[in-house]
Amino acid sequence: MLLVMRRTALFLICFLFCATSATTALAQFTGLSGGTGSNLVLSPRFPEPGEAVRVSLNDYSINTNGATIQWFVDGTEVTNAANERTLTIRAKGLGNTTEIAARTTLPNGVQLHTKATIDPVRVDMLIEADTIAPSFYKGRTIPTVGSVVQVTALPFTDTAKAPTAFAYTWKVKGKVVGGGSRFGKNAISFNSGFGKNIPVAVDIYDSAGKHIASESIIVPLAEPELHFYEMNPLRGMSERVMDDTYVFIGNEVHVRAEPYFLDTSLLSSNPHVEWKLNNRSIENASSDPQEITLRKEGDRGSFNLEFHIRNLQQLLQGVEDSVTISF
Amino acid sequence: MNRPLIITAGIVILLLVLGLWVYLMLFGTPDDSGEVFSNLGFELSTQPVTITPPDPTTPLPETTVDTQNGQLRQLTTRPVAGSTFITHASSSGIRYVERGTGHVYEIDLDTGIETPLSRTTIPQTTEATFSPNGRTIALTAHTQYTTSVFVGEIGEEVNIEGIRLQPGAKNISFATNEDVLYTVTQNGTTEGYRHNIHTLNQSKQFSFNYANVDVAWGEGLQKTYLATKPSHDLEGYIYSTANDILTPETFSAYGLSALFSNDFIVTTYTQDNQYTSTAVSAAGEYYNLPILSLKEKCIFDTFAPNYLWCTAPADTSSPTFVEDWYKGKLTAVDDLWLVDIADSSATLYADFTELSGRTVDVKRIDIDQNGSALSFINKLDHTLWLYDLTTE
Repeated sequence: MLLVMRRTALFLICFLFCATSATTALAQFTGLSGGTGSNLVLSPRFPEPGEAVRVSLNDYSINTNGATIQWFVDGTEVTNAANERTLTIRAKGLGNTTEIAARTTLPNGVQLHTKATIDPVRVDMLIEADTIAPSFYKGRTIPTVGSVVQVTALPFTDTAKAPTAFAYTWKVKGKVVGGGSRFGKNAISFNSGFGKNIPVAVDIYDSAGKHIASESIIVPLAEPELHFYEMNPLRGMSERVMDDTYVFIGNEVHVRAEPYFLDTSLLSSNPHVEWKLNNRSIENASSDPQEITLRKEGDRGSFNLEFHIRNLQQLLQGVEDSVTISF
Repeated sequence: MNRPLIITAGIVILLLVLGLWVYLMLFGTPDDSGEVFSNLGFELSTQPVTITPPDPTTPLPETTVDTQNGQLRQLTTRPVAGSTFITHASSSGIRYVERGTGHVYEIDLDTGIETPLSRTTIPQTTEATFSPNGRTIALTAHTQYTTSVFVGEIGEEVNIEGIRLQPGAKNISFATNEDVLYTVTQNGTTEGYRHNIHTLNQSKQFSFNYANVDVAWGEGLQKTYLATKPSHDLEGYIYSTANDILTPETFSAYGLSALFSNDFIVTTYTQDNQYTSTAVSAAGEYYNLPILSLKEKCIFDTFAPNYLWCTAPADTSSPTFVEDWYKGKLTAVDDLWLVDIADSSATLYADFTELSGRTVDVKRIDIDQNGSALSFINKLDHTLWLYDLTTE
């Protein structure tokens, strides 16, 4: 009796094991639209319009030795990609999707189907800094060490939506900013701190919570500059830098020292300001600490004029330079 | 000999010599005999003693400018903040604003007569933008890190009357002769406004959460374009905006800036560590341009939309050329080129240095309504120049 029961139990165990295996094997061979068994991997995962996309067939969990592979783009077979495991195509314009399908035919005739959709999304990452430059300067104010940087993400999808219609998760130097995803927050500000380059990344989600795009950039940090310009009380500041070949005519010259790309907080921080003439500090009677009036003594000569400005609360924010002026 | 007679003669001679000595002491040596009588008050002319001032309504010509000699001519010695071509019924001219004072003048290009139109002083005026009819002017003063803009119409009293825009107004343009367009940036957001200078009605045109933006609008453009200011270190973008929806207009690129017309967007950007220019048509076709086509140095031809008049130096190889030029660190020694966009070719039209014997670094180029002349400001001294396109 005991022997019968043991053999019955053994039979049942074997039966159940075989049935499960068959079921599992059967599931691997049916209805595999990007499901278990094989799928298509896009690189980049969120391509932009016109960007080259590498589509890879991932079917390493099953034995496809001897299988043939066919690729289809929007229903049309790509014959020159036959039996390749990757396909490279270019994403279409905004609002235009591309359907990619791959059909794997096993030696026993079983076919595996998988597909993916390329829906390009453009994400522009606009960088700017809250740094100073003279108002006639027509270039962009750029970030420097210790300055405040702003990065703005502008996503463009197939339908025209304001940037605030999406949710954003920002990372600066690999750390999430703002505690996580925030709806409508398509811009962040942060202090650049030390270093030369700052990695910034953003993940973008639509109103349904679907992850639609990712983008990452490097924010380069530049060095602040200092240039000297001649001032005219009526005509304002000259737009030409005074270089070491500058010769002034007349009895006096008004000079303005103009720093570029220091943080705007410098202007309200009571910075350290120093003028030097031939390496000696001088008193500046001008009401504007960045401007100085110099009067010549003698018929001809030259002198070295130096200027130094620094934010005492943010010592990285400072610049100094000099110019030789002849008369 | 009669002694009294001799004494009398001697006294008379002595008195004459004394009188002569006194005259010479007081009046000096006369140039002619008539001067002696006039110095002594014996004038015979009938010149009236009262002086009638000229009629104040008649403009006083201050200078006569040589507008006829040479294909390339310097029109002013005054520094200029901005200018525009003007067409009257029987003459043509160029109207300009003096840099620093904000005074307005007009030069008749046929006679060379320069006439003051406004002596209202707007101190430290550094830029001036004219309305299409040239009667309304926006005068910008750059004061350290901000701008102050006065917009007014030329009055009948050799003056200009108008209003001040919001502090920090930039990107000035005119939608019509009465509607000025400008932007104001606060807390990292740039807002565009349209302001009627007569009714004082103001309406917001767009809002963009970015501060460093150049706006191209008005002046016949059908769209409003927003372009990030250029930096060779940072990627730039160009959009059009309508109903607060942004639409990308071109590719993104480092150092990107652009000049706009209704037919083309002429982009300048860095590639392989130097600046290059490409034109994009409204249909999305791309044309490589053989010379650097900066928006400050180029203008579309009046009648042929695929032709561009550009001034450019021979060497623009530095990757920081544009920003260094903006800062005033370098000078562009410009020549004049005619660029055929469709053909991607450029023809050297004029060697400015050879024609003038001087370095010309062009900023703010303009073309007249007949396509017959170019005007531009020389960045070196802000003087106004004219190039005649009709002279061979």
